[in-house]
Amino acid sequence: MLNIKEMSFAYKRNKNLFENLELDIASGNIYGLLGKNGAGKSTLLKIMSGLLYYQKGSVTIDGLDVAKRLPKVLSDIYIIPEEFYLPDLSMEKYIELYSVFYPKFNESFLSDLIKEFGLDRGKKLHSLSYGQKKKFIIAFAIATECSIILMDEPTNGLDIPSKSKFRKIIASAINDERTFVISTHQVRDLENLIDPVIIIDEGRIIFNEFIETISSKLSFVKTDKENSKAKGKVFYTETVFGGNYLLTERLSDEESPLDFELLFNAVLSNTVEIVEHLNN
Amino acid sequence: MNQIFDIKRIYKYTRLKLEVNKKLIVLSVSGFFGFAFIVTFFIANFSANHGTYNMINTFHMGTFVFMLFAGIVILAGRTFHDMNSQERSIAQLMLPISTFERFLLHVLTSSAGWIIISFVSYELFALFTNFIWSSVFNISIDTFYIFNNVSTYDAVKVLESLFFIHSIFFLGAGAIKKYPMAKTALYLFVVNSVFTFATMFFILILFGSFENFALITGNFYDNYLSEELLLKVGEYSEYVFIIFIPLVLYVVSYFKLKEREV
Repeated sequence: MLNIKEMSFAYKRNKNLFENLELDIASGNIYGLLGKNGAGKSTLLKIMSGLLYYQKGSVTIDGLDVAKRLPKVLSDIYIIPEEFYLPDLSMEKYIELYSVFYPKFNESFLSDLIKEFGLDRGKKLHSLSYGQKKKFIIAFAIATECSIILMDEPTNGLDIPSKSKFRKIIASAINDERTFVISTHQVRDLENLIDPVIIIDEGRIIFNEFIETISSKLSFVKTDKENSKAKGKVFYTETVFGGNYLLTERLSDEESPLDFELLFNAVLSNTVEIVEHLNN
Repeated sequence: MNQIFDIKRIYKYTRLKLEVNKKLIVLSVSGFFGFAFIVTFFIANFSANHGTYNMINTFHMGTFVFMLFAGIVILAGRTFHDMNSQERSIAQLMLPISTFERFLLHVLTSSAGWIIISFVSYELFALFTNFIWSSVFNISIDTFYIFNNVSTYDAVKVLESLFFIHSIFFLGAGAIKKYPMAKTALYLFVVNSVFTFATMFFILILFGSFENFALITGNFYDNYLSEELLLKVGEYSEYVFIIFIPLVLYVVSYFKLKEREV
């Protein structure tokens, strides 16, 4: 679906943020794009959507170069940036004016999503709070039925009930024809939703694995200070109140609940060993 | 579906742009005409007291020319104002339309579109104000018709200069993100000043004084250049200014728009 091949990008000359980056985004998945501040997550989303021009390589959607910004490509990809702009229109008018650009736009689905998020369709967009605006733009993006939806920190500004509604909506909206790529710091907001997990660090994709692979080969174990419960190889240790939290190789049949924060920290501090273990 | 030009997409985009900017357009146009209406009241009042009935039409002519030129500068200079912040830029660049369609719509609406709209709206405004004030003050005011005061030749010259100015400010809007209108005006001033001073400097260096320069070039024209040739040179340089330069500036604007990133 979306292919990035040997892509290099730099904001400044002689200082590449991405160098020969390779990534394949397949349909039917909700990709979680994780990384520290400044790792290049937002930049990567902008390159994927053609908002930034890469200097080398290729970024294509179904074989079409995104940098050409063809209407055909643009009508099948939607990006929700962290900071977004909504014009001074009523919700109704916005839907009427913008939906016509998206051939697969699903009006009744949008009504359901607006209802689900508890929004009032008759309201002016400028009278909404930041969180309400965000919910509206998320609902609109999903209703476009675009094949690729890119979201940068979508849960920022959402209240707790809205975050769970967001998870529910995304889970119900995914199908074999479409893909979500969600970039976030707030991994807990997206637990049980994202699959696969991509971790990006200093412009490199250091980790790209499906949840099934992670769960089948790694264990997330809480133990005492002496790590007495630890079995198998320990890849990462995090001290928590009353003991340690460990990422170990999985030896038993018992599956442990995946902890994204622990995984993220472990991958950043011990990438090579973890990736090697998962690939063996 | 054609990926470069599609009339349906242009229609959707035009509708969207009009709706989004409706408030601003209505406010600016009504503000301008409101102000002009108040001024015409004082002129009509003065005319009624002093018997100079057609002073109001002189005002109309000046105001119309001001509206035309100021409008062209403002519209061209503000063409891509909705792409001057990252958030707005993303919303614009992600709209499923081609760069050519975006460029075409903006070029046409801010130049030819504006010329037609300002002509029609000003004629209606002048008709309305002349009717109102002639009834209120019981004076006779001629019907204002722009082409009564301007010959076709002059109108063409005005149009040429309008497009020339438009192309400069349009390029400014495409190339400069922050304060494009002010910066374009500043660049124009700087470029003009540099050329003027450079010319003066070279004249002084090469000919010693301006008088000497006038004498030498005068002799040169008299001896070597015919009037016919000079007219031809004038004609061709006019073509350069009215066709070639605006065309180049529009092409550069298109590529600047294509290059836009967030």
